[in-house]
Amino acid sequence: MSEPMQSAVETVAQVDGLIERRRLAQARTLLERSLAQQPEHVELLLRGALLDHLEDDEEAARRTLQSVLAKEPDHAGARRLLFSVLLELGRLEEAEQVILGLLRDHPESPPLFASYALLMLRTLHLDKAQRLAREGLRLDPEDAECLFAQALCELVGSPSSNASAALPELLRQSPEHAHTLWLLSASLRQQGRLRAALRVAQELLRSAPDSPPYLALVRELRLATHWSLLPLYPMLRWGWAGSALVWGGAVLMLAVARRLPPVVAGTLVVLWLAYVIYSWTWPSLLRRWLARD
Amino acid sequence: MQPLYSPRANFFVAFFGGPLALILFSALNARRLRRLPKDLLFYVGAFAIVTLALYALAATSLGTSIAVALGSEGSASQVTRIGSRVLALLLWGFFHLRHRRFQRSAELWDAPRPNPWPAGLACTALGTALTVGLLALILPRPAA
Repeated sequence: MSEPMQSAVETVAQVDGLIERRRLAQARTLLERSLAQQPEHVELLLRGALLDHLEDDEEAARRTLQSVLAKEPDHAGARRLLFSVLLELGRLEEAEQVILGLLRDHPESPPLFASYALLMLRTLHLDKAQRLAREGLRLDPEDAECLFAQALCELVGSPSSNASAALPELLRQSPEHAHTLWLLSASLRQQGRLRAALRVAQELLRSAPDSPPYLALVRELRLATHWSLLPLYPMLRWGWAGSALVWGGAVLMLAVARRLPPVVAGTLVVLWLAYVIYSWTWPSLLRRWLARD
Repeated sequence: MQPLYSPRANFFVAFFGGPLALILFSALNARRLRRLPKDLLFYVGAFAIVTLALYALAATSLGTSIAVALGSEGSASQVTRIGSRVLALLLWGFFHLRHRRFQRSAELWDAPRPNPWPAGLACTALGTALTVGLLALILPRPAA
């Protein structure tokens, strides 16, 4: 009896190592071999669910986790993973129940406050998210997950603010962590510093070349910084305020044009119409063109 | 929390439907954010401002004075129409600023957006009807 248990513990350690090195297929083979011998082993099942989650098979991961939790309802690792899986599935109310249960059992755990804060950010309960991130940071001012949640709250609240304290702290603590780079890229993007955001996003993609969200981010930023979109710079840099500026300028120009000779006025009107058509059609055409690469 | 209508959808409702359509559509977003009671005063205030502006432009000499000052060949009714659009866009800017952080958060999470067409068209139609009704109440009736 003790030999297979020992073997399961060893397998779990090996699978963890393989998952850390992103060798998921190898981890899966090893795990399946071990699960064939001990199909009810909780830690092996948990790794199976983790692999499903990492391979985006969230429904399979959820089913496995439910069977794990039926055996061990208080298993913290399984509950945390279930929270992440439910988030991916978009079952946010169930995810909230899971994280609330975890917080009831571990009220002094900053990462749980951070996870709850991220959920609240996603469900647009921004003030609550801020309070949760602050509470987590009160328990541990250097907790990376709480700093991430706090930085996101600050980014959403005021992206151009220099008062943000969490992002610089994250950059100091873990400058190469994917969360930090993603946050930095998002922050630069919201400030309209698109080229800098693209450089950071490219760095992020280099760290995980097979990540679809990072690829999408780089594509989006490549589009926004494409030379052919230079005439749309005010909109790309200042968003709606830039758009209002351009429209205000156009109204002024057309008002002045009425007093000019008809040929000049006509040319200005045609130019403006061409610009409007270009601004409505070219970005989506370019997006399709770049997506072919 | 239900997903939010995008700023772009709000903008087009403001542009095509006018200020009252925008107030209705933006209130739908506030309801989705479950903060309608918090924002209600602003919507009532915006409605009062729109009523006052329409009255000033359509029922007093202000509209005609503006038309004359601009050297426009247009009438006070044209000034009312354009003024109403400008007011709609200003209100869009105001409510956009009020809901900006929620929109930013939705963008950050790449949250799905609801189809804006049914509500947008309904608000545009209702806003237009309300504006026409309001103008009918405001404008002095011709003597029999």
